[in-house]
Amino acid sequence: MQNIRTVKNRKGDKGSMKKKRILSLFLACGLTIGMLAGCGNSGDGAKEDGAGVSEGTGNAENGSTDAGQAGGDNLPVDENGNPSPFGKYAEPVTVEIVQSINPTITMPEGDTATDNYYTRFIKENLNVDISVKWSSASSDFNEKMNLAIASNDLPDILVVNEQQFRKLAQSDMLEDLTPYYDTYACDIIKQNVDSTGGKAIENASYDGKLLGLPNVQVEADGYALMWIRQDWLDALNLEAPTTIEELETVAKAFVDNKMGGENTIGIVGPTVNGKVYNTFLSINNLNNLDGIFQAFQSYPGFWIQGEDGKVEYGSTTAQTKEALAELNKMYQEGYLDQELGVRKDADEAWKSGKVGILFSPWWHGYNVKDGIANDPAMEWKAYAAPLAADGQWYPKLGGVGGSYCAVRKGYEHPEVAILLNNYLRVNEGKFQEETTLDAGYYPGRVVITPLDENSVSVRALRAEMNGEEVEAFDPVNYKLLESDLSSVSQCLEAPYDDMGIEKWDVEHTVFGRVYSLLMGSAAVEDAADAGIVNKIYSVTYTQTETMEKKWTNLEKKENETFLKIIIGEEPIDAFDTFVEEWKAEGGDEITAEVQAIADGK
Amino acid sequence: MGKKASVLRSRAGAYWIMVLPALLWMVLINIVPMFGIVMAFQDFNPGKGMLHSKFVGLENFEYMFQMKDVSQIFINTIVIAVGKLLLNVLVPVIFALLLNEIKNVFFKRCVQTIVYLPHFISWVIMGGILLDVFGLYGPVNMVLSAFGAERIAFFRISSLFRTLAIGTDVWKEFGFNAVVYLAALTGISPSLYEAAAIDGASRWQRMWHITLPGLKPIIVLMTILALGNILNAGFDQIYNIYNQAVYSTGDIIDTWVYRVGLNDLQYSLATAVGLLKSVVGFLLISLSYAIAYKKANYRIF
Repeated sequence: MQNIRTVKNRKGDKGSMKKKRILSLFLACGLTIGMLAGCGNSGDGAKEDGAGVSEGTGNAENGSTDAGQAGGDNLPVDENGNPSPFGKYAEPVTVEIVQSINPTITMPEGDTATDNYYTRFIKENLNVDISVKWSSASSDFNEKMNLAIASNDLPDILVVNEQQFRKLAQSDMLEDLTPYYDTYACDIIKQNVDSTGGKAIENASYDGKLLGLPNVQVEADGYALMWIRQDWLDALNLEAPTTIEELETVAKAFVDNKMGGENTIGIVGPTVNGKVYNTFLSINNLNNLDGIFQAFQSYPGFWIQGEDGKVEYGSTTAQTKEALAELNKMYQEGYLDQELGVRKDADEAWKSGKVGILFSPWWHGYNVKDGIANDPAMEWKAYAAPLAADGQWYPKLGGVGGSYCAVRKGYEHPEVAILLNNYLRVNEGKFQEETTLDAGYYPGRVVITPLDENSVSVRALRAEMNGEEVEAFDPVNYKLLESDLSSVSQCLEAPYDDMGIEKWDVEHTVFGRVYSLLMGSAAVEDAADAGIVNKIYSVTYTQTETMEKKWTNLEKKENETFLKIIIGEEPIDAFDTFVEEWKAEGGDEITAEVQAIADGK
Repeated sequence: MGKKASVLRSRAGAYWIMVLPALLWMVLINIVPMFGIVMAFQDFNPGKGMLHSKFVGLENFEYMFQMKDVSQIFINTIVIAVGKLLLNVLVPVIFALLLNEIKNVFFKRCVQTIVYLPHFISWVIMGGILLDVFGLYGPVNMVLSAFGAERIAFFRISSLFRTLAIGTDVWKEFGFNAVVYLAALTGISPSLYEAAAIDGASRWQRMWHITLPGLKPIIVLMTILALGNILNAGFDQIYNIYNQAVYSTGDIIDTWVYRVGLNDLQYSLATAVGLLKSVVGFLLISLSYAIAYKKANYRIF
């Protein structure tokens, strides 16, 4: 036996030796070529960048000490040569940005990331060239940005979320914008920012320095409205649901009658990376289930201050347990999304006409046309529903804003970030009429709006449509309203008493906005008029010190437990265990910190 | 002829030149990043970089050991990795043995080519395919529901997740892994089989007494090489198929480090866990090498 083996081995060795030699030659060649190719590529990349940016970055690095002076030679000035919020540079300035791109939106033909309506506008008005460091699909954008932060490889101007902003601020990676904000921010931006009572500036400051231009979002962004297929309701002769029981009935009817064909989804849920509800750190999650939680007066993910002044984390309340039990029931009975939590793309589901009900903000109306492209009869309407047992609506609302336009430390023209937003702020109405290009392509864009923009717009639009006189408004502050008013008659057929989808010109450039306003925001207005709106705010919208370390763990536990309860993998009593563990593993400590914030107010 | 030229022209010199790119690659990719370990003992600040961040001693490790999560991800990693390790040897060996018995060369080649195709598809794509195949309305569930069974969202059931992860990985790789064993099989001298047949050994006996002993060295080698990856449960795969509902069984060290480090920006904590993984992995490799050295007479050095 031993003998046999040696014989075999020797033979095998010889054979494999030859093979190995050939193999290693191949590998060596392959690797060398690979390396050369790699070098070639990076060389090209550098060249490409160089065309636009390296010059700017290079200067900034060399002369970071005299950045002020470098900038001093070439400032954005008005005709008289004075620095101005709407000035123009004498010499071209290059700004490197990163882009988050919605892959379903196509660019107008001939346009590119660095040559499109917005970049041309910016070149013409500011003499600023835009170069794109990298771009990524919106779903991967945060991860890519995190990577850029970790490797300290930032673009000149970047729009970041709360968490990224804190990290950048702590790491001293951002330019102090305080002097630039004072000089360059235009009046209307200052006015909007001040309307938050100092909150926006406070959030965007670190150690007394303003490190970013804060986003001030319209209050309407927070409301999770119930969007429902009106055409399905009509076909089944049903009314839009107002309570949880009615919601069950309607969703069940949609599924049982196979309104969207086989596998109709009654109520669609969040995707694999989505959140089941908005949290104090993350507002604006599409297709979440907040609408149902709200009906139980449950506010998961929010820090709620009770009447006795005590702060409680909304995910740990008895109401949340109730809501989870209800969601579990809906799931078991088959009209809550059966692919909840594993679905890759929720938009695809409703766009293809499989979904009956979804919970999204007012601006779901902007996307409606993608669904209509597949099915012209598709009609989405929004309602402030379902209501709680007491007939009231308890929407969770976000903070003043969750994103910031910041500038990489050492960039020699920090004021560009502010100027870009100045121009955006006053020209949005013009943009809306002149281009269909998604506003997300505007470099350095943070949305800064008056809080009541939507309700003012809805009231004005309704007055206009009823032939009444529109109340006087400031056309600069409500920057889109003039355009909205003048175009409503073009995208909606009169008379306006019936606003069925067939009366809309879906292709019109302002369709998305006007539809969103007249369906989404109008639903909020109607509810407010009926006196049933009770706005719920979180005590804080930023992380406390302990959270920076422990929140990851707690949040993971929360998400996992809740998802498992909803899909029935764990019994509802797992909720109690979760609450106990949550408190023990840092929840109590954090609650005390948030309590301190609440008491400090 | 000078001495230098003769070194270069000698066989060893040629080998050194051939291995040079690989060595360079290893230094760049495997050795240089090792200095990043220092982050585990710092409160890492990307603005200041590794050289100037504040040192905090073992703070990150203390916190790490307080987290229940960490023991869970180690367990998940080891269960998934060991499962893959064993099955990725067992299945390809059995497959190679079976294929070896087939006499029709054309059929044999076809099968071999088909089963190793999945190896060349990246997990990003394969993950999507699998999610669809095992999805609620995918082919598997269509078959199930045709037989009146209830539809199952396979990838969302935590008790099934490890099985699926291991199973799909083995399915994807067994064809490719079998190539090595098939090659080894061709190295076994046919005269042995002939002699055994004359002595009246049955097919089964021939396999047991000739084929398997012939394969033993390569099996041991492959297993030990795989042991080096014992704590790599396969980031590419897991990341593309897991979801929040299966964190309890499917979250492995690498996915956790990725989320904590890059999603939550806790670089130092993530590095600390990564370092722990490396240390444990190193110990395991040393151990397995010692065993292989003793039991299978295998040596690298």
